[in-house]
Amino acid sequence: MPKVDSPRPVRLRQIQRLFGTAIFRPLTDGYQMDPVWSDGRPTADIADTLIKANDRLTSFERLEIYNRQYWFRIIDCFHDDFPGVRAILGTKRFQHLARTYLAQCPSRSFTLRDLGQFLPAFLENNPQLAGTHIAPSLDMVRLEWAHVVAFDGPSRPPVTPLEIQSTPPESLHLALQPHMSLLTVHYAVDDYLLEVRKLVRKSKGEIPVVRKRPRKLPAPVPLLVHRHDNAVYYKRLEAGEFHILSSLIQGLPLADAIAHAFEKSQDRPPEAADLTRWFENWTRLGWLCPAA
Amino acid sequence: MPANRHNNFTSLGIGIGLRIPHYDHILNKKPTCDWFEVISENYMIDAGRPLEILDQIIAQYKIVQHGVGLYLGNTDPINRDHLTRLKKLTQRTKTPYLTDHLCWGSVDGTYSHDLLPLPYTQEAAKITAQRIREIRDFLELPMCVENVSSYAEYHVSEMTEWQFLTEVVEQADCGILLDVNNIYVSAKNHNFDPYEYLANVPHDRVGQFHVAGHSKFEKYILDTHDHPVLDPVWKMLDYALQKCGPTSVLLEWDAHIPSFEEVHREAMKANKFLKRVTEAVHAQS
Repeated sequence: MPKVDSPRPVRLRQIQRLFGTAIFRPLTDGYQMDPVWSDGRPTADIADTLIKANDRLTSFERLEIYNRQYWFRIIDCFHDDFPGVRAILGTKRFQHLARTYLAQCPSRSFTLRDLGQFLPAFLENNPQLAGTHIAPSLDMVRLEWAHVVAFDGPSRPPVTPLEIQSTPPESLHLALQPHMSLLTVHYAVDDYLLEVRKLVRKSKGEIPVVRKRPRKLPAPVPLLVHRHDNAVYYKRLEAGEFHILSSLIQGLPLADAIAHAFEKSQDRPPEAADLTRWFENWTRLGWLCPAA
Repeated sequence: MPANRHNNFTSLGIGIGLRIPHYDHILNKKPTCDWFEVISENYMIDAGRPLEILDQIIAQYKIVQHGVGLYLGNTDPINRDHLTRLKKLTQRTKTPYLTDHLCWGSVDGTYSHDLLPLPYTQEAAKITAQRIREIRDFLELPMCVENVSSYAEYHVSEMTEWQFLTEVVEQADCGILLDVNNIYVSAKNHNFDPYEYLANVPHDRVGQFHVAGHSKFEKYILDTHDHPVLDPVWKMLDYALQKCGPTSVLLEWDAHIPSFEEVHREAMKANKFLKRVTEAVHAQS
């Protein structure tokens, strides 16, 4: 927080720091600029040092236009990126989550695309913000961030079946495409999010009212978020697929990944036919690439 | 003047801003449009559908890139990752020149995602011009800087907005993207004569015009780009074209976006003014 020692900041850097501090400050509950500065002085006095009043607006009111624009813009973006979390929490609680998160994790990137990147970790550390809906909200926030990554994240040249066949499995290190995320969900957030997105499209920009919440699954389900032909998909995996892909992600060579994938699991190791089928499917979809 | 070194000697006619709701119409109907302006930051991504669409548009239409994130008046160090991504995109689109705003937008690494006004001081002009030169040298493309609409004026300003714009572009030796709607909005908000602004900018540096709609509130005007262009703004464009000569015009429509046909029809209203000034130039020569 810059200290305002001189009556009027003169240097460009000083001016930008003071202006920035003013507009990044959270709005009041009534969506106005906070009338009290962080050191207890009236914000109007701070605004007066920086901005001229005119015949219609005070310095405070002119600065407030920017303060409100900043918050409205980033909260709008948050609504666009996390419609599923919003549907679970309801608009009021979601709005509170958005304002709390954005006050603590403001944008540090030139693109608003990255705005929600810390939300999964933030919600894990602040579960009270989701109240009794924390478990489905955590599943959903991970899915929605994975969706953002899958939408425009990088791809690498996929490994070909020939490369897999011609490299000894003991020295073959594979990875998932960087735009892909492997999740475990406890609620049917994939079906739910597809439904919510459909409602959002139908409502043409308005916030749709969603009364139901995602159903709890009988057991945790592995879910892969990926992009194919530039469309994002959520694919539920078989348990065996999940174990092997998880091992590959950890950097194990293919032979070890297959050998150790089921060590800590009660799931039955796959048959050779399953492995063949999975690898054919993964390479066809371009999921695997050589590890970096 | 119309085709000059600041717009890489292009005279593109009347364009519209490329927006998502129009993707399907453009790709399926292939409507006539002189050129599209694309917001650079929307496509500075690694992969995915936006780039697939962009490639299809590039194959069929002329494109000029317009940025909203260079923040030419920032005092933070230049974001090299941003510039590298931008350069990669310019190589993809083959944009003849680049435009971005005369504003600042982030400080100490926190981004406002807004086009914030600069104080009109010699110090700010010098810092901004230096930054424009560095960016242009890296990108190896001509640049035009756009005047922004504003709602606040600083006590420390030492000159008018048009004097500041002139100071910056002359120190940086770059072009101007003159947004006549922004001049109108700022003129109303700050009580100055928009025609004095138009008369006093260096006309030989204007490489493109922007027009857009705005919203009137009780005590100020907001640059919302969600309406048709208002008559006073068209009149200003007419005057500016007479001063600058036939120059590319771009209509921006960013919210409550109507059909492609409606946006294009609105943009084509500029043709009346552009045609008149083109004919006048031909008559003189």
